[in-house]
Amino acid sequence: MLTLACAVCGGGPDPARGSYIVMSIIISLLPLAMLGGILAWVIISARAAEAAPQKTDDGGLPS
Amino acid sequence: MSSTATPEASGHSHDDGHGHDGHAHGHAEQNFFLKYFWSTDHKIIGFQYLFTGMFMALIGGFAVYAFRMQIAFPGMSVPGYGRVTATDYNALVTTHGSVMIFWVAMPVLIAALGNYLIPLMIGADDMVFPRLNRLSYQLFLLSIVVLIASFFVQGGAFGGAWTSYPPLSAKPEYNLTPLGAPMWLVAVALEFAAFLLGGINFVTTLMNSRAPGMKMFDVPIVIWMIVIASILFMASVGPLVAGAIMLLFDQTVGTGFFDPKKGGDPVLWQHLFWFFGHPEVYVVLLPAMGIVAEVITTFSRKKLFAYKTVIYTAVGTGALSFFVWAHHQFIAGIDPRMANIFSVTTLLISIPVAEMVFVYIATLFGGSIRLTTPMLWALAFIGEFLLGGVTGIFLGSSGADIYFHDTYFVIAHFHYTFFPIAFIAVFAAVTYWFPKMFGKYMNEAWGKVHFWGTIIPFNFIFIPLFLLGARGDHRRIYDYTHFPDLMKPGMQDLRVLATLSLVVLLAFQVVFLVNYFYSAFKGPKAEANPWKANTLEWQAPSPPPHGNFPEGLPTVYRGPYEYSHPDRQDDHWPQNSPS
Amino acid sequence: MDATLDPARSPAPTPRTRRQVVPSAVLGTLFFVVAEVMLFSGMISAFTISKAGALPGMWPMPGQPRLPAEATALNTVLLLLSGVVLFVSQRLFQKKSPVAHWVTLAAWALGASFVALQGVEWTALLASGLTLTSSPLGSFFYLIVGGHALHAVGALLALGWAWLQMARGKLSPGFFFGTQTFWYFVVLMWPVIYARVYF
Ligand code: HEM
Ligand SMILES: [Cu+2]
Repeated sequence: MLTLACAVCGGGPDPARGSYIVMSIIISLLPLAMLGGILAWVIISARAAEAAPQKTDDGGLPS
Repeated sequence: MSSTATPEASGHSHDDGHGHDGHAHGHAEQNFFLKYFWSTDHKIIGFQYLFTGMFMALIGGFAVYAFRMQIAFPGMSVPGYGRVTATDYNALVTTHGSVMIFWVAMPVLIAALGNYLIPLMIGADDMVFPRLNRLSYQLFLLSIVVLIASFFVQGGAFGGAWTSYPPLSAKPEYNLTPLGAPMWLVAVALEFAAFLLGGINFVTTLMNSRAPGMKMFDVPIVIWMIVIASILFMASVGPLVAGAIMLLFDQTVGTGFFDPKKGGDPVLWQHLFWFFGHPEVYVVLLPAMGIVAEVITTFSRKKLFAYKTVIYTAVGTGALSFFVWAHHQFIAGIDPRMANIFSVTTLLISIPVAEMVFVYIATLFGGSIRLTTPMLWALAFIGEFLLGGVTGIFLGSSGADIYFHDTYFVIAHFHYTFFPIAFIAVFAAVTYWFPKMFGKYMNEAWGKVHFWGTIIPFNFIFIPLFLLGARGDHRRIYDYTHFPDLMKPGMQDLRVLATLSLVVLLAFQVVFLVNYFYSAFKGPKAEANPWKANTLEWQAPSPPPHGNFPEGLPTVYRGPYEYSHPDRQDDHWPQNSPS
Repeated sequence: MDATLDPARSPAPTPRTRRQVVPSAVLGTLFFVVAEVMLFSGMISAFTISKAGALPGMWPMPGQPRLPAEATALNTVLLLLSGVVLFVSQRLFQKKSPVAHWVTLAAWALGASFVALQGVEWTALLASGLTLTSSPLGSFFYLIVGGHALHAVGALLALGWAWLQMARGKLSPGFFFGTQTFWYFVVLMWPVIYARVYF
């Protein structure tokens, strides 16, 4: 607990300090959870697209 | 916006049937204005960002010149500026910091290189949402107009440092810039909106526009890095925007979000700021790492050592970067339990960064290295950045940081990281892709003069600052002669040395600018693939025409770093060559 | 462009639109939504911390009105319902059902009534003395709930446009799916705000 050597550490009312910690944890995990969700969705869609027969979507190009 | 009337309609709609960004087919001739200022072509937008970033670098460079002269020679009339008052000093420091980070590093590393390189390197003809892309640049330009206007309003430019901590930033009675402060905030917010749009484009383009045959693990590292960085940016910027709105309300309508007298909490801003602020340093670091990967593989004719590891490492760094921000607040009154956690995560994050550096050194090992100008920059990046990373570990130990915080040690630390990122790596990129961008060569000899003229003074600026910081030299002081403790023998000499080195460094940038613009017009003609590189942009003509690949979009057969393959005579093996 | 394709080099001309692994409009909107969710979590966490740090008896400040949690419950139901109805309309749209646009309009109307009721609530609160600067609770209330209302209005504009185009039979699926994704964000963000701020 070296940090306690610092005079300004540990200021503020206790409930606020607890809620700082809780909010820090939530707000740090939230983006990872959301990005993980998008990643999973993309991977599942890519797998599904690979399994499905090639549906060429060539924007109506004359062939 | 009508999709048929605009003459820039490119004839390459990615989005047929998907609405808001599809546009009509056709090849109307474009006049100069429409071509260079109203274009949706990703290369033009890349150039717009690049040149705007260069212009902003001049502003940031001028600001640092003025305030460093004041530090070295207090009270002097600075040639080209005049006397620097205390208010000026604060405004100049703030302008320097925010311009270099938000209007130079971000636009050049992410927006300019991302726009220019992503479609070319993944074999596409443009971005998925070209008009969103144009809007992104326009917002960015608007942000600059607001910022520059704020220099001239009553009270002058904002002077509360790039971190804009309340209460100083929140109250006009304290900062004395009733207009400058809110304008600064608005400019930053506009800039973020611009990069949000850009980032959306980058991610979607990488997902949905890769050339046929190009798997995710055939994508060059620099593209991976730019896209991961954009994702990091998008996921971290929200809380800062929330804080910015709250701060704007505090400044203008008199709410008290950050005012303890009204039940607010100033430390809250620091959390919201650094929640973005630390991921932000990785947002600029990752693209720089990517540039270095491209340059060192090309000029050592070797496959990148551990391609996939680099990508996983970058993803891991990105994930970890959400858990370190409070290391900027160790002595701001945060809970000691929190300081301990953040100390540990901060030390942890140096591991993946170090690993990337090791991978690059392993790539160089045993290669046939050619010391061209871009290669020199790339090698210098590795060496100089290492020093920045290592000193970060000192600061990340909460105990040591009680001493180091707000000293010049911190300044030297982050300049040893930011300067390599925003300038050394960018010079590597600019010189490496110059033949592609302009179809011309830059002058190698002058390139090397510029290299040495930048690297040597750079170290002579910041090693003195490390020494000063270790002696307790506080940052954010206008005139040290008022502080006998900070005027001990030798300290002022170090300040003068740093300032004079800065002047030399700035002078050598003229060499670059002349070389760059002269070569762009008058340089010797370059072939399409002068460095014999594998990635797709080099397989397009130089400079690439509208639509990028006139012979049809390429098909990809292999990864980007197949140099010196044992079964081949040629030492390179383009990604799109069938055999 | 077509003329420059050399048939000998690429036997099947490169498709102009590549296969989208996931629809570009949805993917783009999702990343935008990630940024937006983080924006609101920034504000909500700031609210939570300020509330926890308030001196005893100061939250809400004496003399300041209570937030109308019960009346807002009805709003919340309307908004959630609008999300469900929009989901149904998407199904119908994909089946090319002729009534799809009426269902979309219903979703829009539910969303619009949410915004209208919020407006009524605001005027009542302002009249009883809760303003942006009257107390920290007031500041946060207008910041967060107002921010959400702005997003709702923006999303309703886009959704209204989507309805118009759908009724004319000219709606591009990309625009619809993007707008829809954003509307789901507006709908799902609200219960979180409601639960945190009103109680
Ligand atoms: C190895 C990884 C790194 C570690 C462990 C680290 C650690 C730290 C710590 C603990 C501080 C706070 C010092 C203080 O204010 O007392 C700090 C400041 C800073 N670092 Fe780093 N850092 C690292 C990498 C980077 C990188 C890559 C960049 C830039 C691209 C960077 C940019 C900054 C900046 C801008 C500041 C100071 C901001 C300010 O107060 O104005 N750091 N670093
Ligand atoms: Cu940091």
